[in-house]
Amino acid sequence: MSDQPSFAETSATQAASIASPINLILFSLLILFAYFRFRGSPPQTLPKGPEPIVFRTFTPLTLKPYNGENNMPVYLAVRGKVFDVTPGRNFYGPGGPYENFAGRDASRGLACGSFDEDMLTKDLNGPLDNLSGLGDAEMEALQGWEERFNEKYLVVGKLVPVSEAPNEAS
Amino acid sequence: MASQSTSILQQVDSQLEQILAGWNIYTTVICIIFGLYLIYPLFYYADPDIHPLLLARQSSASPVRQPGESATFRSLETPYGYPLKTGLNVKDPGAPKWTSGKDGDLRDVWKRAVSGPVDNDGKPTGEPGKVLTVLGKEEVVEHSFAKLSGEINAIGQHVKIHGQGRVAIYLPNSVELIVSLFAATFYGLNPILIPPDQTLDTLAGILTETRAEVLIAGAGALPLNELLQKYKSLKQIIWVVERTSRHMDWNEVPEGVGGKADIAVWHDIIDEKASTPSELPTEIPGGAVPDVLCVVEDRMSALDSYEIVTFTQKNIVAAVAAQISVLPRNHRLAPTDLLTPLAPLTDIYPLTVTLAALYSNASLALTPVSGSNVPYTAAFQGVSPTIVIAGTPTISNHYKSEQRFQSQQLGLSHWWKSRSLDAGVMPKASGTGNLRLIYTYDKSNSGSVPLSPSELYALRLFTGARFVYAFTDPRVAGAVAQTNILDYAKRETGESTHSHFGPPLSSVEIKMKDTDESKSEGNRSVGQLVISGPAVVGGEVVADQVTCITDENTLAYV
Repeated sequence: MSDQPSFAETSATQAASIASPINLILFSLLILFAYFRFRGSPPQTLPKGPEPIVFRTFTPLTLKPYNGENNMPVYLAVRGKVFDVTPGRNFYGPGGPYENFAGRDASRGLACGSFDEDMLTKDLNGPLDNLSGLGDAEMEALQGWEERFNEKYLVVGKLVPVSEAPNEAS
Repeated sequence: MASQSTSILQQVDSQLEQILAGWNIYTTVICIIFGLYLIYPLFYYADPDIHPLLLARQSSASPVRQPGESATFRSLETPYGYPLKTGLNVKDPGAPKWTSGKDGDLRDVWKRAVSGPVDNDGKPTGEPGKVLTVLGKEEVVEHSFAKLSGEINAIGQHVKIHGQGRVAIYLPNSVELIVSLFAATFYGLNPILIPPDQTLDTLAGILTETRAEVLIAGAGALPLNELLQKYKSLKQIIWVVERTSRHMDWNEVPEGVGGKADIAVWHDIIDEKASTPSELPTEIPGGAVPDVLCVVEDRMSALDSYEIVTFTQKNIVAAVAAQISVLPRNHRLAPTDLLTPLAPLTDIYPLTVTLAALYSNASLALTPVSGSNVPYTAAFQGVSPTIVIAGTPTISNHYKSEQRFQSQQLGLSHWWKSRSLDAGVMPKASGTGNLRLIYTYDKSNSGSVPLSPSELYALRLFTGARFVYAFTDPRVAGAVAQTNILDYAKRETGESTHSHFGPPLSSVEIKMKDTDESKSEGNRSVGQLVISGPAVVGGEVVADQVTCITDENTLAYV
């Protein structure tokens, strides 16, 4: 009768086969996958949007830099309201057809439908353009322009003459 | 020439062969388990209840802000440039779909509750709900809306006959409170909602300040002769008597007491006018729809002080409309819902939610066991509600009691459910009835009980219901901000003990004013809260609270 392998030898071989390299590899892969699945993840976040623009009271002098040059945004003023027309940079920014309006009070120019230099106020230190000498048709055109601007662009400030300038201490 | 020592590739190959040679039955078992583990999610994956990116930005900020203030934040339903929600958009039956309806008022809420759900042409599409009064585990009394309309007529006419004026309602949550409120609205009288459990002096003070002429109160709740001595201008008193005490004669006035006051008993009025038609008056005698006055208790001050806030119908209706639309489409208030308010209906927030439920044709279960601090189990005596409104003390006490009970059960099922909750899927609760939604609210600057994010998280697991945690201000109808019910994440908000309050509702817009310590700059908004909109008394109100906006654009205490 052949010798039966002893009990110790059988269990040893059994242990060896359970813990064979392939088993160990597969088992540790299983544990790894389970760890990653059950670890959980933090809630998803969106990047923050642009900061809100602070409403400012401009004078013609402080408004002038906002004409699109030096990476500044493009602002223009219509009847005392300052609009951020940077989305329309192709028109109002440097090199555009209406670039004269950038950083200036564009009321008279829009009323008359002209982009000439003489539509803009010459003296930036003086009072604002009071729109004298404009007829009804022109005032109506200006009203239409103002409504379009209100719908399309953001109001970021108001324009006052230098004499009424607020004391911007900050 | 014999080949060199075997190349790397051949070495790797022979190693692999050696490893794979050890393949045995255990390897096959492990492989099967691994395969099942990988395939299991394909069959059992549940989408989160709401897209996670919708929770990443829950309100919209205005692109411009005034110096000294933060940007204005609004609900995503009413972004910058669009008008806020002003009312219920009540259309006449048969009007074309694109017409904009009127704002409406409380009478439209009642009419919709009576008629049941209707479609565009006014044809009913379902049964109206019911109002249940819960008087204990065995006794649940059902009232139909048609019968309640008759009661409204009876009470309204009775009060009108015996003189006009303001009606003070000093009742716990009950069908009589609802009927009195609507009777006052239909008949052009100002209802004054007084929270329960006042001392006699406070009550007399409230009545004096509001110049109330009619008082509807629970019989025996207050000593009549002393009250009449303190406040002599009371013209009419209506006692609401419990069934068990109806054999007593409440009409009798003790000697030498308030000769001018006329005393009547509720059930007598109803029985006398049993033949009154249940057609509600279409016009209000006197013209304008009356304002609703709420008495707000000021808990922060040492004395028993209070404040009277006058809500116009427009305030309330804007808040009700916002409550209806703030819930996600699949979780709205529906005719299948049964709402139990545990919080007193004299608070404007529970009242607004209850009115929203009435307008959505849900059923109401009213229990006189109501107040800020009643036990949570009071909502489940004899009825099985789907929606509960409770104050934070109730919820907090429920959490503490459940915590003690459940601490032994921190086992596999708890862990599995919290994983489900983290993934954004609400786990099904085990045997807790039909509860699906719990409303709870915090009052601005009133020393209220905080609910931390981890408490709310645990409560979702204990109750199996979704939560609404609202921030309210006494001078704003409804809530200022309210959490999204599908937002289950445990978001810690810095050092605050309170959880965040979610985005603002569509009936208000909020912004923060700079204070000495907190200034808004860049993208960070912090400061004293300013609330404006159609739901706000007087248009704009400065709350006595410093708040901030979190990264998800939700409101939170600093």
